[in-house]
Formats: sequence, C-alpha cells, structure tokens
Amino acid sequence: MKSRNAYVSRSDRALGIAMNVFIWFWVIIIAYPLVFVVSASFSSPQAVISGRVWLLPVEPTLKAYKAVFSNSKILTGFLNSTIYMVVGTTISLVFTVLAAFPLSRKEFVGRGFINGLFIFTMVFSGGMIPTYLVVKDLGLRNTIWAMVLPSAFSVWNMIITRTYFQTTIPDELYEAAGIDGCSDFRFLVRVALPLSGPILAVIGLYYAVGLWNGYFNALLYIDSQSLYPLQLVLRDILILGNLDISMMQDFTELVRKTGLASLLKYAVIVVASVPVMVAYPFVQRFFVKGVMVGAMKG
Amino acid sequence: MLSFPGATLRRAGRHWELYVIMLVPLAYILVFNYLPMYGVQLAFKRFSPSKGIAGSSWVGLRYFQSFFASPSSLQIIWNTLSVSIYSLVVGFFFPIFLAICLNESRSKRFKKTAQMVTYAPYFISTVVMVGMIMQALDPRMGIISKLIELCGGGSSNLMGEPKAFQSIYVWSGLWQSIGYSAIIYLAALAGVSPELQEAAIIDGCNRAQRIWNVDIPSIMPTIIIMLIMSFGFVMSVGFEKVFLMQNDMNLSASEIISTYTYKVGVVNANFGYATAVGLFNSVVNVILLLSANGIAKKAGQPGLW
Amino acid sequence: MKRTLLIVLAAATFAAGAFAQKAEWLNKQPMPVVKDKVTFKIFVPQRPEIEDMDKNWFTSWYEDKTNVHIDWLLAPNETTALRQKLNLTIAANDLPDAFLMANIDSNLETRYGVDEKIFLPLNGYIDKYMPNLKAYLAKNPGVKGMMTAIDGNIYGLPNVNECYHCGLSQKMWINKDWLAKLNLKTPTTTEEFYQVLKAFKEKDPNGNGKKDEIPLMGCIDSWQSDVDSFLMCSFVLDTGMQYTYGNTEVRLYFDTKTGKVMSIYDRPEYKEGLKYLRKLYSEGLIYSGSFTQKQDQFKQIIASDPEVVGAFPNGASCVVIDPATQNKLYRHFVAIAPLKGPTGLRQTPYFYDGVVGLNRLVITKACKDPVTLVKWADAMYSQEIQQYRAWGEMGKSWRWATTGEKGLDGKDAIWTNLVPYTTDPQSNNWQQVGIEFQSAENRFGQTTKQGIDPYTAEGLESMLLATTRELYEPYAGKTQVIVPTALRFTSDESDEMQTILVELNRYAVDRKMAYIMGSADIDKEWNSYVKKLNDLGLQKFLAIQQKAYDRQFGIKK
Repeated sequence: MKSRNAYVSRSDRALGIAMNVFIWFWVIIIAYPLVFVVSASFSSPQAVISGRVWLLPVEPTLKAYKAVFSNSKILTGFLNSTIYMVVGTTISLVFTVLAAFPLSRKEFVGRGFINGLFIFTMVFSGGMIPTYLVVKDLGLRNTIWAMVLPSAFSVWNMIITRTYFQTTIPDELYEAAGIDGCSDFRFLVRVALPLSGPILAVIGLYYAVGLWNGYFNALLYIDSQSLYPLQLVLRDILILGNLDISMMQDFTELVRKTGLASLLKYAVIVVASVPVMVAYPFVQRFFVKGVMVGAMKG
Repeated sequence: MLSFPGATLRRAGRHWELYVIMLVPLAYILVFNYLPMYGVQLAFKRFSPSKGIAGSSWVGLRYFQSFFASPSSLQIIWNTLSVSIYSLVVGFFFPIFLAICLNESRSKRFKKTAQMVTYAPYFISTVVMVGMIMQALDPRMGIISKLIELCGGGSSNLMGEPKAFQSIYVWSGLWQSIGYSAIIYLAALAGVSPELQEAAIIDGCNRAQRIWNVDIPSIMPTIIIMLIMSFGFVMSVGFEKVFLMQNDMNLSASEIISTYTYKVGVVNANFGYATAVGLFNSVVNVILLLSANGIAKKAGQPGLW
Repeated sequence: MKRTLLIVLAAATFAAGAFAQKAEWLNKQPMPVVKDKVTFKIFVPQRPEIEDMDKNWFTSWYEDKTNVHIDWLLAPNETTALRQKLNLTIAANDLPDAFLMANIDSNLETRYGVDEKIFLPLNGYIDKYMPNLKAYLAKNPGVKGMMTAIDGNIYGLPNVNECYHCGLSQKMWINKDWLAKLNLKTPTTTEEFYQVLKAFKEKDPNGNGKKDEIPLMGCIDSWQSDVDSFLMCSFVLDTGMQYTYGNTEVRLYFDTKTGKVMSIYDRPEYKEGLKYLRKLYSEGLIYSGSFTQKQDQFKQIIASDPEVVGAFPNGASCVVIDPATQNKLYRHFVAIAPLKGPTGLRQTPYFYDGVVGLNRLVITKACKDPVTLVKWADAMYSQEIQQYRAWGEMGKSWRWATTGEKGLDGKDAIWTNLVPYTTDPQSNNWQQVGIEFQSAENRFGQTTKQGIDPYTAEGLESMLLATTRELYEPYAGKTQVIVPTALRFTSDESDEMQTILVELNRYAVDRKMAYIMGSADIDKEWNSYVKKLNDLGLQKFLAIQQKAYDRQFGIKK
C-alpha cells in the first residue's frame, strides 16, 4: 500500500509468513489423503488392498469408474440427489430469509418471544416416531417432499442469517426507508435481499451440502428405489465389504463381493463429491472483499 | 423501559407486514417441530404400537431410573460431555484462525485453491472417514504410527488406547470440517468495512493490531452467536462415527450416551428408554444454551435473543 | 440311415437322462396360487446385487406363474438402519402385508408378535396350504421347535440355508510353508502351539534376516476372527464372535452334564485360558493390533511381502486372502484341528442352529389375504423354484444335471450352473432375496469338476468341506454346547437382561483385555472380579436364561 516505515512492514511480513505456513499446513495434510483417494480410485483393487498405493495410482485402471457409471442405481441416485438439492435449497433459503428478516428488526413486536419459539426447537424435539407420523399423515411419505421438507428449516442457519441482517442492514437505513414510505415487503425485496449476497451464498451452500449429504430422511420416508438419493445407494455399496453372517453362504460369491466393494469404494467417494466440489467456486465469488461495500454505496 | 401498551400495539400495527412475512416459517415450525412434541410422553410410557402413543400406559420415571442406575451411566455421561467440549473448543477456534489467515492472503488464486482443498474432506462419509483413520493409525503401516516411531516413540496402537480416543475423534473431526466451518467466517470477514481497515493502517497499526482491532470486533457477533449455539448441542455427540471407532480396548472412553442408548434401547425396540435419554439430553442442552447466552449477555455481547 | 437312427436313439437317451431330476425336487404348490391377480406390499431390504426388483426376470416370471404382484417397500440394507426403519414402520402403524428378511430376531418376535399381536400366527396355514414347507418340516422335525415363539405360535416362515462348514466355523489357519521350513510338525496341543509360535517369532521363517514375523494375528470384524476364542475352547467353550448380537454376547454355553446355562466369564477354566493367552501375549506372540484392527488392515498385513503372518483365526481363509489373485499365499495356509488343552479338553462349538434362519417372512395383521401369501411363499420351499429364484432362467443360467455329472461331495449332481456367478448388479434372479431353500444336499449337488485342486478358487467349497469334515467335525463339543439363538424370552425378561448384558459385557471385556495385556494381575484380582460380575447381575442373567432354556428345551430332553 502507501508508504510504511520498515518496522511495520517487517513484523507484518513475519506475521504474513506465519499465516501462510498455517494455511499450507492444513492444505498439505488435507490434500494428501484426498490425492490418495483419487489415486486409489484409479488403481487396481489388489494394489489398494495390499497397501501399495501411496501417492500415485498403481496399476491404473478405469474399472472402478466403469462399474460406477454402469450401475443404474448410482445414476438414478445422482439425479435424485441433484433435484432434492436444488429444490430443497430454494425452499430452505426462502423460509430462512422470511424468518430471519423480521427477527432482525428491533421494531418487530414480540421479537423475543418468537425468537424463543424458534430457538427452543433447536434443542428440543418430539422424537422420530411423532415426526414420522406427522410426515405420514400429511401424505408426504415416499415423495420428493419428504426429502426436502422435514429438514427444510435450520434454526441454526436462520440465526446466522438474522445476525447478518442485524449487522449489515442498520436500523437507520430501515427507518429512513420507512419514512420514505417504503413498505416492509418492498424493503425486503428491494433493499435487504440485494445486500444479502454473501449470506445467501453461504447459507445456501450449507443447505445444499446438507441436502446432498443427507440420507436419514430417505432412510425413514422413502420406499421406492426410484426416489433413492445417492448417499443411500453409496452406503449400501460401502457396507458390501462388511460381513453379514446371515448372508454368508456362497464363498466364491463372497470373495467377489468384497472385491467389488473395494473396487467401488474410492470411485464412489470421488463421484459423490464432484458436484459439491464443483459448486464451490460459484459460491466463492460472494466472499470477495468489497462486494458488500459496493452494494452499500449504491 | 417504559412502553405504553398503546404505543407498542401501534408499532406492531405499522409493521403488520412483518407478521405476514413470518407466517410461513412459523407455520412450518408449528407443524414439523411443535406438533410432534407430544411424542415426549414416550419417555414416561411403555409404548405399545397397537395402542399408539396416547393409549400406551404410564410408567413414570422407570426409564430414567434404568439409565441413571446403571453402573456406568456416570462414566458415559462424562465421556460424552468431555469429548463434546474438547470438540467444541478445538473445532471452534481453528476455523476462525484459518479464515483470518485466508482473508489476509494476498494471492487470490492461492486463497481460492486453499479454500477448495480444505473444504473437500467434509464430503467424505463417516464410514470411509473412520476407515481412513484406522488406516493412518495402523501400528505397522499407518502413516501416523510411522511418524511416531520416527520421533522416538515405540510401536503404538493408538486405536486401543482409551486415553487417545478423544484426541483421535476431535482432531480427525477438525481435519474434516475446518475448511467447511471457516466459510461462514470468511463471508463475515468479507463484509468488514475497508474504510475502517484503512483508518487503522493510517493510525499506524501493524497487521496484527489491525486484525485484532478491526477484523475481529467486526465479526464478533457472528463468533459469539456460533459459540452460544454450539453449547446447545453439547450432549448431542453423533452416533455413527463413535460407534465405528469403538473396540474392546477403548470402550471405557468410547462408550457415549448415543452408543449406549442404541445398545440398550434401540436394539430392543425400547422406545421409552431411547426417548427418556433423549429428553435428558435436551434438558441439559437447554440449560447449557441458556447459561452460555446469559454469560454472553453479561459480557456485553448480543445474545441469541 | 442306421447312423441317423443311432444318433436319434442316443439323443433320446440323452434327453431322457438329461432331466434326471427327482420328483421330490419339484414344486408341489399348485400354480397359479390365486385366480384373480392380487397385490401384496412387502417390506424388504434393498440388496446392492440386484439392480431393480421390479425389472427382474425372476420377478416377472414368478408373477406370471403365481398370479401375485408384489409392491416392494425398500428399506436400507445396513443393520442399524434396517432395524430403525423396521421399528419405526411398526411404531407408526404403517404396516405392510409382510416383512421379508427384516432381521426379526426372537426378541422382536416376542415383542411384536406375542405381546402386540402385530404378526399373524401361521400354525394353521402351514398344514393346510403349504405342502412344500410341510414336507420339509416332516423331514426335519427339530426345525418346527426352533420356529415356535414363546406362546406356542409360529410367527415367521424360516429360511433354509444349510452351510455345512459354517456350522463349525471357528477355524485356525497356520502357515504350513513356515512349518516345513522350520521342520515343525502341526501342533495338536496348546503347548505345542505355543512352541510353534515361538519358533515363528525367533527363527525367521520368512528368511529376510529380520525378526519381523507376526506369529498370531486376528481382527475384530471378520468371521470368527478374534484371536482368543479358538484357543479358549481348549479350556472352556467360547463361541467367539459368531454371536456378537443378541443375547449371547455374554459368552454363554450349555453344560449337557449338569443341564445348566453357564457363562465363561466366571469359570476357573476361563482364568486358565486367560493365563495362557497372557503368556502368548507377553512373549510378543500375539499381534497387539488384533484387538483393534478391522479386516482391511488385516488383509494388508497378511499380504505383506515378504510374508509375516504365521497363524490366524477365521471362518474361512478365503475371506482374507483371495484364492484367485493371491493364490501363492493362499496355499500356504491350512487349517488345524482344535488344540488339546492342559486338561485334555479338545472341542469346537457346533453352531447347529445356523441351518435355519428364523422369521424370514413375517405376515402382519394388515394382510387381508394371508392364504394367498403363504401359498406364494410356499413354492419357494421347493428345489425347483429355488433354482429359478437363485439362478434365473432354466436353459440359460442353469439346467438339471445329467446322469454322470457329479457334485461337490462326489455323489450324483443335481443341477449344473451355466453362467458364472456374478456380483455385478444384475436383473436375472433374486440372488439371496426371498426365501432361500438351500439344503446341504442342494449345495453339494451342484455339478463340480471332480478332482480339482482344492486350493484354487474353484476348489474353495470342496476344500472347506473336506477341512471341516476331517479336522472339526470329530471335535464338535459334546459336553459343552452352544445356547441356541432360538431361545425365547418374554419382553420383561428381555428388558431386564438388556441392561445387565451391556454392562456385564463391558466389564468382562475390559478385564479380559487387562489380563491378557498384563495391566492387571489375574490371580490377585480374580475373586473381586467374579464378585463384581455378580454385582452387575451375572447370576440374575443366568437365572433368566436357565428359566427360558428349561421352558423351551428342558422337557424334550
């Protein structure tokens, strides 16, 4: 930047180096196992089992990926998960903003009470059975709605959003708009939302990831294969390698089954992670400095 | 604070739209969260599916007694609490450090790539994660065991050490979530006003001082809120990862409330037991949450409400 | 002309002999089972090896044959998730017509069948509408007793999957290559085994100049792979990991002489066994990772180059060493018979109750037409339908054996496989879904090349058959036997036992580890250890087990 005396820039630089070291440390210890997973997915199962894979693929082969992509269950699961993720994230974001905005305004009478109503649900739940019954009675069983509605609203995310609204949309702005005759609806849509880029991006990402990774709702509410999300399909494959004594009868088959599980395991992880990894750069853009400020000035 | 009911009502009336906006989420939690709460009764009833929740007979505190009377209940509760708080402390501060470091980094490219890399492990499912942990800690071939040997320690079987269990759980958890958890702080840091930062530099602050005096206070509301909310989940240590990491040797440290409840309650379809323990967890969580909130408020910070 | 006649004659004889199936293998259930098509909702875990139950050859073939359509309600396959979904489905009163392969153990059977009356008693139906199953039960009288619930009703149809070698699954495999290199003979007593392990450790049998050998290694999640059980049997009957779910986690056995249900945990013989294990462990003969590592790590270590493992326990060596791709290593390991202990005891647990799987198909009270449903199920209890179900289309995937073809045991074969078994998801058959009807006779009856080298992948089954027959069957425990999983309890008894069970097991296992690893002195602690076991409820637990045992099996003795 502008001219600084040498003293300041030396300690700055030292801190800067220390910080970079910290980042590099985490990048390396995280990257290595990930590289291993990718390499293993391109290696032969025998090489993986005998522990010969350390960094680069050993006996490179596309067998695992071929097996994954020819498995129609995986493909259906992939498609389903994508749909659930997109639909669910939209719904969740809408609910979250609708709740966070009023709660962020001091003028909202009854704010404390309603805040409490929401927060209570975060720590207190009626349990699996009654929730299941509610879902069932609403006729949501075995539909896409059973996947996106029961966990549509995360109070945690809502509170973070509310905090964001509180700090970045100051009361002066709100009051001024009120005086100007701007209704609450208008304010929400015309002023608050455009300023919310970063938080919508982050919370949207959190919801999306939650939906993508989720399998518990499917476990409880879904009965047909055609609606299975990817994660549930993956789990079944991953446990293929586990022994189930009651199922252990034909041994030739058993040996091949274990081989199949090892073959698929790493490829499956890679395939399952790709969409959310790819989505990240799009969302990252919103964390850039200055986006917020620019909008404010406008 | 004096506030005539008239004035309040008028204020409410002026902002009637806010209530309409609130209608949808409110309806949601009423249906999906409050309506099912009648199920809490199960903690006090002997559930019979044919009679339904309403028709099942009351047994009072039987399940609570059963849980607390068991010889290991204290140890199990302690295991749960201690691993959870350990996890909370570690998992809370490191992502903040990482976010600050990333924010300070000059190279945009490096920053973006580092973010992507650190964010990736979050998607590794628990089953695979535990497999990787066991691989890394394998006494003969694991990379961590080899490192320990290099540093002079003898051959070690850390998965068998009760004392090591919590650390393995917590640090592997951090490895998996540090990038992901940092995101919210990165977003918050992105919103710090550059004017404030420039002012600090002009005032002669070095980097460290600038971070301490500008960045951190700006994101403090987010930090505090996250911290308080974390206290609401202390008793809710997840089942799957711990269950997969248990073995005969580390059980004294690795048996936590959720795994114990599974063995005693779920296997047997003993819903009453599972619900009772769940209720106990919720109550403790509520107490912790309120305490954390109260402390924050006393310290002058905004609370959850 | 003459030649043509000869050819025709030969063809005719061939054709006549080709389908040498006996009448008893054919389905006795009249088909179709109902006049107008009926649909049933059946809850079933989703198996990865089946691509789609709705688009499967057997599904449509069987539907045409029986005139019954099935709406499959899929549940996850993994044990904890399956149990949760099952419980939830019942708790919410969201009942299907039947539960198939839902892991309904005797505990749940008592709770949901006897107490809640959610399951339909099937006693009357079997006699009237199920000729195939009836015939099987007539031939195997013990099975009916095992299927009966605590109130005398039968709530579930059984699964028949006789795996001869699985009944004697506690096997120990030893590196015979190393025995030969060190000029040692196969150990037959615990003392000899100790000496052999010592030699493995000290005399460098893998020849690389380093003492990196692991004499004995196990893991915690494979099949009968825990290091201590096989050896403990030389002192007292230890059923090992076979029953690590359900009630018998407290390592129970039944003493036929006294008629009492016992736990090994407070036996003086167990103490001696632990001391033996301690001796082995303290001299570095047991790999410490055996108590924590899972199958994946085990496989890696055993596949090391050069070889490092001397002996390991497992139900079958092929589970951890692939006979196809690791054949050289695979050949090095042979099973050894149970060892003779210091008191002369030489035994192995015989898991006779593994033959029949309980409650494979359970019909709920929500089913409006149980008669049709049982008829639908009954057909699967015939050899004929079994072939279609497990293998697929006759003529394409399998055919009946011709005279002259021999089976696994050298006797006449029953059927011949035409297509290699695959584990890729397929749409041809149901693999292991549905009701299995694989008697030992059927298994042995698969046409097998005679005289194959047993230590190849093809020779797997014959190797296991021979090994079990020669080395293990003679030593099946007689005075100490297992407590069968078919033992039934009332719900109150189950509830009471479950808490005791978890606590007892934790304490006993914790102490076992301490004694083996030497962090506690077994002689000093023994009395207080036994006292603590009793304080935790061991005697109460055993009393409940005894009561149930006498109630169910006592009178028949």
